[in-house]
Amino acid sequence: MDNADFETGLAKRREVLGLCSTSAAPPRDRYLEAFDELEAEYMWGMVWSRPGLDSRTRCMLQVAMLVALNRSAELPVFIRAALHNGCSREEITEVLLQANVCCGGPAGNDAARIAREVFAESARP
Amino acid sequence: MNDQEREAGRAMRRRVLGDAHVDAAIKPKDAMSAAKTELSEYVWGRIWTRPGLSLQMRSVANVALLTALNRPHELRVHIRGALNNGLTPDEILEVMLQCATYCGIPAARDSFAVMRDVLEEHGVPARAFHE
Repeated sequence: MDNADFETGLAKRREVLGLCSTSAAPPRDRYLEAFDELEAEYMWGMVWSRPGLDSRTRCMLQVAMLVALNRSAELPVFIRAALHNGCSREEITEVLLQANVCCGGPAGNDAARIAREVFAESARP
Repeated sequence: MNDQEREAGRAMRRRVLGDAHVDAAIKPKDAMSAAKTELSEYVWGRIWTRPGLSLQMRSVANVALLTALNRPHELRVHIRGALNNGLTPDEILEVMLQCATYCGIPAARDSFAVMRDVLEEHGVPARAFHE
């Protein structure tokens, strides 16, 4: 793997997540570094940086997939990222409603609770 | 399953998961517990005791399976088991990195957090991760 993917990935992660990084707080150590390096290159560098879809669309997809996968730790990170990348609360709500009928009611209810918490963090722009 | 297999399985379960875990697991005496005990005796008496894979390899399989299945409570138990079976923290990290590419980053990230917790609880000092 070319190290350019890592650099591109770091920049893309910063652009998409803004201040809402998925990374644990410092202090850094070599375990976290190994993990973050993989994520930066493999996810952010090799996929999120591709030009074929914009970040706004990728954020909505990410939210839907995290609901389907029942990975609630990362869901708030990407709901914040969706807002940061120009998705409206109404659009995120539509994604969650679609997930509700596609992944089942309990998945939709959990996601709605998390989304309300994230929406409550900031005043409506 | 005969009595000998059942006994071997009980011993194996204690060897891998430790007495404290097993004692707590068999403590509840309700309608479910008898049947659940039967099922777990099968797992330990008929699978874990098979000679065809080392205990380390079985632990590697379990850590990866539980990551893929999104079962963090059981994962915690089996990361402890993996350490009891002689896997090093570095080897468990390698399993997580491989899971990241096959089960997805969010799956591996969740498991990674569980691993860090267990290592801390085992007294692996934070500085070990810097060496």
